[in-house]
This record gives sequence, structure tokens and C-alpha cells, in this order.
Amino acid sequence: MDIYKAAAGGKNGDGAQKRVKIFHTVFYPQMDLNLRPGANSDRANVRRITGDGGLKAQPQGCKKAGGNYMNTKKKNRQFWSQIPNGAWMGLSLVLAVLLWIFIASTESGGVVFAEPWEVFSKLVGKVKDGTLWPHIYVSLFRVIAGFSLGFVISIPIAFLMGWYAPFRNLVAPWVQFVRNIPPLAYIPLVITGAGVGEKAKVIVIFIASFLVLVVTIYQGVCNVDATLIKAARVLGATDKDIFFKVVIPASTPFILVGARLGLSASLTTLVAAELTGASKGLGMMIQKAQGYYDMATVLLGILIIGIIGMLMEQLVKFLERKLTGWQETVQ
Amino acid sequence: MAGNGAVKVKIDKVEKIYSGRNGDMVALNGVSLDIMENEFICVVGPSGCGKSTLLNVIAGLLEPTSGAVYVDGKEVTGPGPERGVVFQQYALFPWLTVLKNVQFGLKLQGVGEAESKETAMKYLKMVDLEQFADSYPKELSGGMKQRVAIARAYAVNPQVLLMDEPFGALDAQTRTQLQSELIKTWQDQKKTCFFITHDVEEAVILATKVIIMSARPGRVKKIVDIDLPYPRTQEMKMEMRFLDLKSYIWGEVYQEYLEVRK
Repeated sequence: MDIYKAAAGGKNGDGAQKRVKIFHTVFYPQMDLNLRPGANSDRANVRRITGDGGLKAQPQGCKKAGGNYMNTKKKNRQFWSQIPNGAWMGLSLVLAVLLWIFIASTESGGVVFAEPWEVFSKLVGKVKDGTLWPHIYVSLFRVIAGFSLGFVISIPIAFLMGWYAPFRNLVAPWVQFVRNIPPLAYIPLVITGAGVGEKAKVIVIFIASFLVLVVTIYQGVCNVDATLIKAARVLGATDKDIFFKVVIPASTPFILVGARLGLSASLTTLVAAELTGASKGLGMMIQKAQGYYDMATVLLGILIIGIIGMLMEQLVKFLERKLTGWQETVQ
Repeated sequence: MAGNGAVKVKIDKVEKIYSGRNGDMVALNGVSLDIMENEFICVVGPSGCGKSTLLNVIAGLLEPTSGAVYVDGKEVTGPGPERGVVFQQYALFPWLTVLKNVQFGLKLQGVGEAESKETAMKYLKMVDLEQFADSYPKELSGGMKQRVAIARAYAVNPQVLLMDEPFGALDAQTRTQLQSELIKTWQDQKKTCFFITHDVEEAVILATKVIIMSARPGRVKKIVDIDLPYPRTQEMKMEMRFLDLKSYIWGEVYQEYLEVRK
């Protein structure tokens, strides 16, 4: 036990732990609902694993044992490692458009895929006559309203789940239960309850993002290092101090990961939410265009949703760099 | 000896029993010990002898099953800033800069920004890290992190300093260096210290008194006065008196190791 402690506490020990932890949350956010703070936490296991690896395999290699298995490739000095990222992005884009043109030119592909310039002229036309912007605006509003509501409500719920066992025991099974149900399935309930107005769409998006957020943030609360809480306590911190000055900052990385996953859940639910009947919105635009076999407009809607998703992700990544730069890095 | 005669910490028949699924485990079996003011106590003993449990009880982070700990005659009922703790895992707040980490305890006590900053800088200077005030913990080596943790513990001016294997995770060289620094700091600013270690050599070079604990259930087996003169230096580790003390204590601890293996 003490050997593990010694090894894991080494220079790279806590870095490795953190990396494993974050890897874990990013890639398996749905797991670990049973994690609870205390003796059996995941953290202890991680410590044991990194400690062991550090001792037996590589004397100063905790870093390797714990963190680097994400990119175990040997460093290669091939020519493509010299190409800047921007050029890769451009190349990838060009290849995708070429592939698109090729598919559109085939007989069966042409039925589904309109030519890129058709989509582009649709875009120009819709921007000119002003019909595109309302769709984007209405959809963005729904996503942001649903997500914000989910964000604001999930934080106290997640913290309550982390801190009070009775609350956790009552609520956690239902969070787990509901999050496996696709939003499409409960749309009839929402429509019956909330009508076909804005409210219904926001509720569907809210439920989807709330569930993702609550699970991720809850995990963050569980993963707060008990030693940090002890350290604050011996320096004279009250429960309130510990909550605001230790638990919240320590959970911030998880809150931001939750935000990223929650936003993407909101977007993926958007089209389903607009199935509840809408006159505006990107999802609606896509559905209406489908009725007229207007594939160019369908593709345009899909692309715009994709671009919005990417922009939102960049925004959260930017926040992550600003707010959680203190972390031992994931890259 | 170093003590001024007044009892600073009184450990009175402390017993700690952990109840687990496999029955009860007695971690501490009636430990009694008087720690004098400004004494530097080192506790050695085999793994699982309850050293850390005892430290946590003194810190107020664990409640004893029976018995009590008194600091200046007042019973310990929870953690308090008059008892500083340095943990093996450093326990720095990674989202705060080095300076803000050291200021943390002062601010909790309501000390203002300017004053707490000044005090924090003073202690960062003490551990020779003032040029890293604006760095984040991730940018520091293990030894530097532990020096920050020591500065943070000193900054709130505790009367008793509890250290739980603070150098256990460091390499031999850094460890020696931090030992020398700690000796110097303790000589400059006397505090009552309670220091847990695995390393008998470390215990002898640091302590005014070494407590040897017996294998589970933990009891105080022997108390050895370390009569090496001050100022202490690393060269003393070559001297006969040091080696005598070391081999004597080592022998006693080794017996307990054998006891554990049985």
C-alpha cells in the first residue's frame, strides 16, 4: 500500500493520474455512475495501476504507464510531420469536396447528393432573400435555451448527488434509466404536455443536455481529490469554503467537458425536437425541403448544423484553455 | 534538550478501531505520548503500524475511538490552523499559483490581500521559491511542490507542524536537500514538529526524539532521545554517534518488520 503511494506520488504520478482520469471521462462519460467519493473510488484504482507500472516496468516511467498509451506510436520523422495543421485542414476539405463531386456525378449518388455549387447557390439565394437567417436564429435559440436550462439545473443536482448519499441513491438510477431512452421516444409525451410551441422544443433539448451534463459533472464532484479537501480543512476552511474554493474549481474541467458533450447532445436532438411541428428552424427547413425533393437545401441545412456544432466546440475549447490551463495536460 | 518543559501536545490513551467488513481492525492500541514545546518528534515503524492514523487524529481529521488529544490543554475536536499539516502527496491546489496556494490559509483567516501576499512571499523566500510565485504547481518538480506545501503550512503560523512522510516520494538527492532545509527552518523558527517517516536515517538527522512504534496494533514501543548537537549537517551522518543511534533504531524497527511478516 505504502509502496503504491510512494510510486504514485512521484514526480509524474499525479499527472498520470489526472490524464487517465480525464481520458476516462471524455471517452466513457456514460460509465461510472456508481462511483462514489470515498475508499473505493476510481482514483484509488488508478493510483494502484500507475504505481505498479511505475515500479515494475519503468523506474521513472509513471508518465508512460499511465498517460501515454493514447499515442504509443513511435516518433516518426516522415515528411508529413513537417506539414502545418492548416494545410492538412485545407487538404482534407479539398478531398471531401472532390469526393462529394464524384458521388454527385454517379447515377445513384446523384439522387441523394446535389452538386456542391447547387448547394452554394441555394445558400446565396437564401441569404439574399433573407429566409435562411430566421431558420438559424430560431434553431440556435432553441439549442441555447435548452442547453442553458440544462446547465443551470444540472450543476446543483450533480453536486447534491455527489455530496448526499440519500439523494444520490434516489436519483442516480433514474438518471441512468432515462438517459438510455432516445429523445424521439418521449416527444409525444412532451407535445401532449407542452403543446407544439417553443416550449416543447426547448424541453426536449433540455432533457437531452441535462442528462449528459449531470452525469459528467457528478463524476467530477466524485473525483475531487480527498487530500485537497483535507489540506483545505487543516488550513481552517469551513464547509462553505471547501465547496466554493475546492470542490467547484476542482470540478471545473468536468463541468466544461460536460458542457461540450451537452452542447453536442443539444444539437443532435435539435432536428428531433423540431419534429414536434415548427414553422421555422433548421430541422424544419430540412424536413420541408425533403417533401419537395430539394436535396440541395437538405444538404445546406445539414452542413449549417455541422458548422454550428464545430463553432460551439471551439468556443468551449477556448474556455477550457482559459479556465483550466492549470491542469496537467491531456494532449 | 530542545523542549522548554511545557507539554504542547498530549496524546492520552488514544485508541482507533476501524470497523470493516472483515471485522474490526485495531490501528492504535492505547497510544500515550507527551510532546514538549519546540520538540522535533520523528515517528518510525513498520507499514501499517498506525503512524498516519495517529497523525490524522492529532490533526483532527480522524476521531479517536477512545482517548483524546490535547493541544495546550485543549481537547482536539477537529482540524484547526494552529496545527499545520504537510502531506506526502503535496496537496497543492493545482488551479492556484504558488503564491495563491501559500496565501490560501491566510485569506481563510480574513487576512487582507496585501498583507497575506507579503507574508506568503516571506515564506516563499524561506523555501527559496520566490521567483516561482506566479507559476502553477504543474510547472514545478516534486521537491519544489513539497517546498511550497511547507511554506503554505508555515504561512498560517501553526504552533504544531504535522508532516506525513513529506519526503517519501522524492529522490534521494532532493530528499537530503529538503532535510537540510527543514533543519535550518526549524532552527530559525522553532515549532513543535511531528514528522512521520520510513527512513531511519532521516529520523535521526531531523529529530530531537525518535518514537518507535510497534507493529499492528500500533503502540509506542520505544522513545529514543537524539543527543546530536545543533546545527546539524549532512556530514554528521558519518559520525559514530549518528551511526550508533541509527543502527540501534534500525534494529528495533526491523524486529517489528519481522513481527509483521509472521
